[in-house]
Amino acid sequence: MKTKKIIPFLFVLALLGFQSCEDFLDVQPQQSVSDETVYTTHDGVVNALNGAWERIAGPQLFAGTSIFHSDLVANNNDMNWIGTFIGYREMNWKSMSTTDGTIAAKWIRAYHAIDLANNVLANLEIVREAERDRVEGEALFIRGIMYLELIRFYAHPFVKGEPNTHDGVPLIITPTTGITDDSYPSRATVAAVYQQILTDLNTAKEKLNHLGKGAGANAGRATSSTAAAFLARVHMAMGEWQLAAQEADYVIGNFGGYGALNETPRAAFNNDEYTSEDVFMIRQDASSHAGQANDGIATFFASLQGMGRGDVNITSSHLERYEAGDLRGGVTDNPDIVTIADVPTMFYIGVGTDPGNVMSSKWGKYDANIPVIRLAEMILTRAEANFRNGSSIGAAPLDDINAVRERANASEWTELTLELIYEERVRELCFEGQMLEDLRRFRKSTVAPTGSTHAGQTLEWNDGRLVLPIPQREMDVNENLTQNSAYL
Amino acid sequence: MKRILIVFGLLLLMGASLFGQQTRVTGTVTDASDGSTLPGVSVAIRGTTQGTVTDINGRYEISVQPDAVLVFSFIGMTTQEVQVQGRNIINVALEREMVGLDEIVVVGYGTRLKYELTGSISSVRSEDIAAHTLPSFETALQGRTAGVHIQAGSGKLGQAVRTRVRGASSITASNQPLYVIDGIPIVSENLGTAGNEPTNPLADINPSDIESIQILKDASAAAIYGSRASNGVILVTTKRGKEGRTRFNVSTQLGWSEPANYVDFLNREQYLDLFKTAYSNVAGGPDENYIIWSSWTDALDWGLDYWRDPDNPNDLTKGPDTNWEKEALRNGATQQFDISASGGTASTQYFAAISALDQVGIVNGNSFDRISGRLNLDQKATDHLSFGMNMNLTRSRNFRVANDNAFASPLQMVALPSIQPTHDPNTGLLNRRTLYENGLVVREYNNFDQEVFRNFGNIYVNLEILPGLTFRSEGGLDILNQREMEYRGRLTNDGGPDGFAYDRSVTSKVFNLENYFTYNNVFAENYDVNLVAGSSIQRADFDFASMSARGFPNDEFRRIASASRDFNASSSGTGYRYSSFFSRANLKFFNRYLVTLSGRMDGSSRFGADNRWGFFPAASLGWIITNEEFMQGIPSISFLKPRFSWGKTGNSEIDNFASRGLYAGSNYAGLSGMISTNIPSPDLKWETTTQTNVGIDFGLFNDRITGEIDYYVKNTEDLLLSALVPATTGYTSVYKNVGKLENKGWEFAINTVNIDQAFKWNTNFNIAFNRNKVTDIDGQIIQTGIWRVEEGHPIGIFYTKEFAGVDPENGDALFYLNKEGNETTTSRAAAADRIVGDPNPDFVGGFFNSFRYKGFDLSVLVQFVWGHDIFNGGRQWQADGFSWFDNQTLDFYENHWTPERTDAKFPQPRFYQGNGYGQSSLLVFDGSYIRLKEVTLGYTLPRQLLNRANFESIRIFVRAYNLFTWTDYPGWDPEADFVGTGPTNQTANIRIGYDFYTAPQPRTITFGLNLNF
Repeated sequence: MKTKKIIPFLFVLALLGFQSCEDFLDVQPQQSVSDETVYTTHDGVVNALNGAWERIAGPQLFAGTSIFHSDLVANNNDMNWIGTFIGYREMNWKSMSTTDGTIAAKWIRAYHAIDLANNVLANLEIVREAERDRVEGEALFIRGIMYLELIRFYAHPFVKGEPNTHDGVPLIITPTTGITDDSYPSRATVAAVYQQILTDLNTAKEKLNHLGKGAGANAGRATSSTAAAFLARVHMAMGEWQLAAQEADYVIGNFGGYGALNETPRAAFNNDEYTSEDVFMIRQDASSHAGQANDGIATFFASLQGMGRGDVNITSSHLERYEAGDLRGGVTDNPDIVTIADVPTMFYIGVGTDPGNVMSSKWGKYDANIPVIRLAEMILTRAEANFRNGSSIGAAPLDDINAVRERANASEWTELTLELIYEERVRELCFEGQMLEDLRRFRKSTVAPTGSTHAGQTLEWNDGRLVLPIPQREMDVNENLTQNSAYL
Repeated sequence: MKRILIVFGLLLLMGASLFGQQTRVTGTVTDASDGSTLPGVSVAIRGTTQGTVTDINGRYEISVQPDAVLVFSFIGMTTQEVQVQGRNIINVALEREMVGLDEIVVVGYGTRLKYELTGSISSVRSEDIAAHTLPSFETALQGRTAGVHIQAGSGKLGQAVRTRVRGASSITASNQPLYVIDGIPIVSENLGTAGNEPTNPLADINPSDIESIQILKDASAAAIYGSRASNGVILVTTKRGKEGRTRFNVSTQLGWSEPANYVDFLNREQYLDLFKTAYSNVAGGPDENYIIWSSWTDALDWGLDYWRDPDNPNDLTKGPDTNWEKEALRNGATQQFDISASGGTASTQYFAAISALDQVGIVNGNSFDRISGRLNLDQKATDHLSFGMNMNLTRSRNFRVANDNAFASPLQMVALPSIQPTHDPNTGLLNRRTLYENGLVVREYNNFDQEVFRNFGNIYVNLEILPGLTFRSEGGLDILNQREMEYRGRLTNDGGPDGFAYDRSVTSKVFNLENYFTYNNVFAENYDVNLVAGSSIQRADFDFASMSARGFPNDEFRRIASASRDFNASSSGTGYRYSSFFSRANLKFFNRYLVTLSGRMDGSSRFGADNRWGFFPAASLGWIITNEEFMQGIPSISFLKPRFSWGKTGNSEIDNFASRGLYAGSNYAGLSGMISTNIPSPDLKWETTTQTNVGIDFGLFNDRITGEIDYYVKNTEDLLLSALVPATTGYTSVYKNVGKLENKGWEFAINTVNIDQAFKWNTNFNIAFNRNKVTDIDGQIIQTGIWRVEEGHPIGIFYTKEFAGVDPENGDALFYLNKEGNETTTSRAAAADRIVGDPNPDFVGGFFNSFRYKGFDLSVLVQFVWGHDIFNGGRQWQADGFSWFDNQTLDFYENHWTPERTDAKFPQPRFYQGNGYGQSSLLVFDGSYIRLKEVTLGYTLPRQLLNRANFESIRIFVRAYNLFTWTDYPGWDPEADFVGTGPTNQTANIRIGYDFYTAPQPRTITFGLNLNF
């Protein structure tokens, strides 16, 4: 008699759980939103653009290997790699593996930024009119500089006067909405990729023209000046000296000329804020930076108290490049230094994990901003482009070089050769990611160091072994790709 | 309610009114095996709280109703019920509990007798796991059951354990089995920080509380758990009280442990000797022009800060000589204390236990402790209604060290040159000028404490609606609260210059409700029917919060309140839900023909709205041939049952939102934005495993020999694969149902009673052969590190450069240039990638022998894993011939190429060049091992001695773990399994057999005392 009453009660209990099954199974993510909601509002598109900005930072790109890979591959006894990471060691040896993780990570992250930019560009009509040019300009800027990153690392160099129909990188300019047959592209030609970069950056320069053009303008993101600065790099790589000089001159003009150079070379680095010399930089702070234990450029370069792995030593032959008194060549030897703020010079004798060796103080703080293009580079570029072009757009080459030297407290020059320009660039821009481009443009060579399987061999500027392989993971998944010649 | 009370009252009155007609019963209780009398046996009157205990001569005396039933129970003996039927003398012989064919086996939503089973289920009983001083119970299963391969991660305490039931059935989804405790699925996956190796939430369960463990292996057994059963199901049943007086069990253990193995690195003299050789090999070689040092001592001075003896500055052999391996490892200790009480009346039974475990690990800085309490209660409210609850509270603490792939990891101290001292000889302070970070500095200043509060609770109501038809409702809650507090001191690399603190909390709440009907009946005497039908829902929610900061006044301050800069905080949450309906029919005809049919319908929140529901059917047949008439004339075959099963199970253990297109938040130095993280895959559905099992259970010579033989084929299709896509799309992978993989194999388990006299000898041998093969993944190749998944091969094969030996002419390391392996090169980078190893074992198993004579018992468990390869990533630096200054292994020192030793195993050492340096098959080794896993010697005091003290039994024992390992593996331990930090399911599935400065298992000896009274 009792049980009879309990049974229906229990039945109800049992069924309660299933009253609304489908609702019950509908669980929403808490840290993500549906892709369907992103490109429906102005804010959504702007958020995706900001996401693309986050992508181009990071240890895989401008806050890390964009700088680091270039200088390791081109390294010709300016530094020693003494760390345990085999990928970097092989890069310094100029015998990279197709399976190296950092080579794949750069590729992946660059295309991720490109896809976000493509999505933004495909949804501009949702963006408020007042901000549309800025959004479009920034997205084109990001796409342009990402293709510049990809083409300079993963393809054989552009050669002026040649058709440049050799393999570049896949050129994707529409957003991905699903995995289809179109998701398996082959490599576009180098000429086509450079053309796309020029189109993107030139359009960006125009679209951003209504914003400020000086240091830190547009909250430190893209401006017409930053677009022009990258255009200067592109034209230099393509051997278009006049255009390069014009773009560099445009930047220098917008920044106010030599006066915008920091007081000392050291002042351009390890900063939390903009300096007057920053044309383009990656912002970092305590909660978003390229990493500290195993990643990020400061990790490898620094050897301070409780900071840095000290994996990169600066060689004595590099230090010999500086004349006495050159502020760019000073070495601090003080065992009591704790942080990079205690180092007033460009070099120091390491403390912490790699004590006793010479370290560069350009990268000495995990969360400091990363200068990507400094005004000094633009001045040196204008000088070189004018020199090669036989022109004096903006200034005479010698004046430009001496402006940079004067800031470094180096002696004034009265004559100029291409070789001197090269050496000045090394002194000013070493370990900032320009060594590979400079090696190619000046037709230099590099010698594979001890330890490399081709130790002692001289690798010319156009040697295939100075080009990164297409990442093996990409080769494995896309049969339309071809591998670079040194890795077949 | 009132009515129930009235009924109770009436019942009580009825009982009272019958008191007048009692009779006196006396008798003796003996042990059926040897006829000896048994003192201390509980004699209870069924349905009452009355009872007595036998005296020193095994005699008892009790007053009962003439129609009463007496219940005789004694630990280790089968409980016997005897109807008084008016007798005055009742003598009883109790049988020893046997693991036999009439053993009750928990099968999920019910129990079966072992002989009636048609599926493949392995059982482990409490004796095999109780009183193990292991942090988690799974490791006690190693080598005990066929087809269950269990691998401890390392000698660090409380680390995740890899368990594979009949091989890996998935690539991207989890391959760990489902754990169900007392009917409730629980959280068993790692919830620790991504910055360290995974930990094991199963360490929160006290092994001493466990009554039995059943492992459901084939589809017929497991399919009742449907979508979550592809990796097998491990059912854990905890102890419950039995009617009778309160019995106490007290157990205490004390043990010591030491590293089971040392690799041996070079001492000062050997280090200098080898370095000198390595230098001179380069100085005189073809690259001489690139040598920047003037001599080998110049190179040493360039790279290292070391100490020379001030009195003999030119004699380098004088000076500090540090054995860093001995600094990294140490002797450990173990202490465990358990006390339990159980008993009850006919209507109320209880089991209550508390336990404390304290372990000091063999890795410097690592320790673990746990305190837990349990109360299991069963209450019979009426003849038809019973209810009960289980409650388990645990606190466990794990004092952790850095992950194996961190300079701060203790084991990485072995990389430090022996010529560098632990302490600065001048200041006496810890040496901070070592080649890499001095792990002793880390040990001194860092801490990483993980504290877990775990609460398993469940309640049930059982109602008999009609005779044979019952309804059961179970609600369970598994709440886990985890805190991780880390501090890195100012003098450490990761904590400098002013200290770093990290604080993380995790809350996991899993709620489960199961409702089901069971119907049991026998029709026409010969048609035995058992039916189950019901439903289940599960809801799991996880919340995470973490914060970190830097800048502490000094290392005394370790909480974030005292930090001054770099404050970081994050919180996140996730969850999943299941909704299920299930049904099963067990049919037995003429006690000979067995049929089991089951089906489960599961809905999961992880899949797209159109693919949420999956159906998982299973069927199995068994035929007890020995119950046939024609077998009665063959007495040597006491039991023979062929069985066959087929069924489908599922796997949905993927990311909670894998099917959706997702954007996550991003932060570019304060500029918030969104990035795409997941490309939509709306058609995503279950991964399905179809398993066919053919087996036979047999008993020979009156069950002196019993055994099981199984052959299975497990085909997984619609693999939930994180399929690689070209990164040019902006994505690297998409979740798809692509492809198939297969596991097939044989399992043999044989139990024999070799001698059954006063001296008893039992043997159990089990061995399992599993073959795993990825049969179709759409031609894709998944490669992470050297591990690869490729069609036609087992999961996780090693794919890298193949070492071709040492050139006898000059000591060059050679690699195969091409895939065919007929040309060699000295360039590792130029060499072809090839398959160079397989981390999946050919067979695994165990060999268990137990002996008993009078009060003595001895058991010996040998466990073996054979035919698998290990990738020893650490040897890339431990035996690289001084590509840098890392200390080298003794076996490299003794076996490298020299002009005199041209047939050497290892290449010529060449300083700073790395002759053979880098990942290649030079780092791959055969990991086969046979291990003397466990030896226990016990002595149970004779009962006569105990009676005065009122003890039922006293046993003292000594037990040794990992006493000896036979292996050719040159690392610390072939049972190495470094899965990395914060691994995804996929990386954990693929990265098998990875040793990276991974700590060995401890060798432990414990002394124990067990009292029953």
